[in-house]
Amino acid sequence: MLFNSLDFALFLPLVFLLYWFVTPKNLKLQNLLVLVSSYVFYGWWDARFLVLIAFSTCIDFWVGNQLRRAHKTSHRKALLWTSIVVNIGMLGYFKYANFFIENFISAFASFGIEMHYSSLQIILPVGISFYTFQTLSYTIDVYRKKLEPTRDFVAFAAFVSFFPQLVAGPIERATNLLPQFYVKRTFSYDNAVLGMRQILWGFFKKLVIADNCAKYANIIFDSSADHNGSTLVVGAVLFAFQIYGDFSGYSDIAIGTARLFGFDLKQNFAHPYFSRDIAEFWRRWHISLSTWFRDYVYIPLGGSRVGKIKTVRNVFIIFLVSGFWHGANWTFIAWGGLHALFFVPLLLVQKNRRYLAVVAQNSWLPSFREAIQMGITFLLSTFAWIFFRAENIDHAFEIIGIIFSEASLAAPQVFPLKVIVYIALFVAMEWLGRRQKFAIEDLSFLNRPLRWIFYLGLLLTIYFLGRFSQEIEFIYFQF
Amino acid sequence: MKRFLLHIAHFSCYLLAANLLCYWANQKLYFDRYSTFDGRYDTYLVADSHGHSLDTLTNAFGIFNFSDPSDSYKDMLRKVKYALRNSEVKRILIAADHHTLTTYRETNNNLDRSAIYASREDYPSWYASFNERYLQRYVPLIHGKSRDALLMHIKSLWSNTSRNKSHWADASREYRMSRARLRAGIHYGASKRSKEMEALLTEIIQLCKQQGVEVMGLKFPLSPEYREATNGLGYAPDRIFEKAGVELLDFRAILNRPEDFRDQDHVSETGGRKLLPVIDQYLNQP
Repeated sequence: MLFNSLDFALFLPLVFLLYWFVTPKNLKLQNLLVLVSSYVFYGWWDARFLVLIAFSTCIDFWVGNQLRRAHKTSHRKALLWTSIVVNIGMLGYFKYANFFIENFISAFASFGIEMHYSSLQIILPVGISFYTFQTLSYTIDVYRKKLEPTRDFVAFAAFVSFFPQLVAGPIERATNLLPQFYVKRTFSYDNAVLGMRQILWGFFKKLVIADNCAKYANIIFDSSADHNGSTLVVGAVLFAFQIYGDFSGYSDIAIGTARLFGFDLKQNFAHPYFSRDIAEFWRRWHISLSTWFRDYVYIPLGGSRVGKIKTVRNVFIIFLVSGFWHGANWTFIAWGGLHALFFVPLLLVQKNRRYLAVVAQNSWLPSFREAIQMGITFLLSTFAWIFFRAENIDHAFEIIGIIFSEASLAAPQVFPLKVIVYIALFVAMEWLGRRQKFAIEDLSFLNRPLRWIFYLGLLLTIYFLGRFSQEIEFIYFQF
Repeated sequence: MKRFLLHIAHFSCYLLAANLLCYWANQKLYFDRYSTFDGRYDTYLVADSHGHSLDTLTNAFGIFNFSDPSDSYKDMLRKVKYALRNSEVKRILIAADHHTLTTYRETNNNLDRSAIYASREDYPSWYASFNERYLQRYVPLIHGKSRDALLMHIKSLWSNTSRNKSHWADASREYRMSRARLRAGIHYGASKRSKEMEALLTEIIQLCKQQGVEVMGLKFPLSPEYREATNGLGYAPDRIFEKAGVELLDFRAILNRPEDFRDQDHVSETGGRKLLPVIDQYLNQP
């Protein structure tokens, strides 16, 4: 079920009313309702996928409970590896099988050994990369004794499949979300209003910004050879805003929806395009994934406490794996590798933690230096997006070749002024709200009538400027 | 909770008011512009804009023009079923143009508007029926096509595009060719043959035959420029008609003068006045 669908518009109020009016006094029943609703939400795409999520849930629940009883390190390790092999194996088969087979065949072919193969017909289950990481976080934290294994199967299954963040994150940690299923949730007016506001802002980002950018970014990238360099630059910038609006919009809707049910999910984006260097960008972009890799891959590898060469190796590992997590294509690996290249110099001169606070903390506008830093960081991240968006590596290099050719000096052939104006207004609003978790989190400076006028205005903006003739899927569903 | 629900209800009232306003505008600008059925005829023409361009000229020949721009075979099936239920139908003339069998028509159609001719049984589920027949009509705030019609109307208020449109007959051959190529690109550029549209056309033909209604396919006249631009493109429905043993009349090349067309693939009033007697002759031949 898509958030931007009529199905969800009917589903959400129904579940909300059942949750708060039919099951509020019985925690187990309430968790069961969350579980059933989540399975309905997920099964709406394809009910066959439910088998996978149920299997993953059962395995990790079992492993967690076995870890409770296991005291020998070897036994505990074996249990941990069981979970890792099952989850990563499932992910590997559904997401990467064809990629590995094709690349092995290409490698053999380069040595003159011809092998014949036809691609496996595998459908990628929606959100598999997200929920496998979520369940893995549970097993790893139980193994590390940071979390007590749960005996409540319904609560655990609801944690794994929690519908607001099931298919595109934020990737929740068991330490944060699972305990919320153990305690009675109480309805909070302020929290619910905040949730509704965040949902509204998420829809604005998705339908007005991302989907309008997508229209032109797709035209430009899909026929890149027919366009000059400046047009491809416009396309890359539009894609930068498309992916930000799309993914952070989804996260906003997810977090807002969870709030309506009394759950508190992690912030996933913190105005990343206002970052002053790539290190700051990665503290603000897809936070739940980057912290996952930090805690479960980078730190176990030794992090930055293992000497410079190993630290650089560790950085490359997490960026390359993070890129590969996005999809079975060399373009994503190249995207991750580029970010590692941008990041490593900052690490080597120990300037990767220079900017922890938000830019222009105490002023309206950034300083000249900050503006230049933000501009450069945006250009670097947009350059890397070319690899992310391209069909393959050759396509990415073709685009870059055209951008850096003489033809770049010509005027763009596609310049959607209307969309550029939307982006400018959006950036202005994000800038004004950069100290908050999302741009319109705090509207307390407006009295209620003005707030309501603002909400109505935003809704009408979505209605008139949004693209919703056809429901357009969120980009991160494919990951 | 009570406060939250009260505020939601209160805010919803404003939304409802906005919805009513949009509903009123959309009825006038979008839904009311769709054909209204007239059951006094025994011959019905069901087609898309190619048939619609004949307007009410068909009435003089005893044919009710039940065509609308962008109608797909799914829309036409609904109309045919409705006509069969509500009139003494003897003959159905159905569009058999090459673009009607493309995937283009799977997405560019009038399902929201032809829903008034559908019944609950025409939908796979109660929900699908409720969505298309009621929600899309009465809740325009969630309906993209209604919004687009409204926006187009607002834009036309100050741009007045229709008045600035040059007449096809007065335009240069180069201009006409460029328009024809553009149109061909829209029809066939990214489209493929639609199995769904083929199945629906077959269903219409079978339905008419079961009910003892004569059915006949029509290929509408196309300008020489469009014929040149689409040379070799398109998906001929001939095989479907042939297999069903149904006559298919091909009028694509009977009109060749620019004044016979209002654009690259739609006949003008002049063209319509020339075409209809020819169709009539076919229909009434012994």
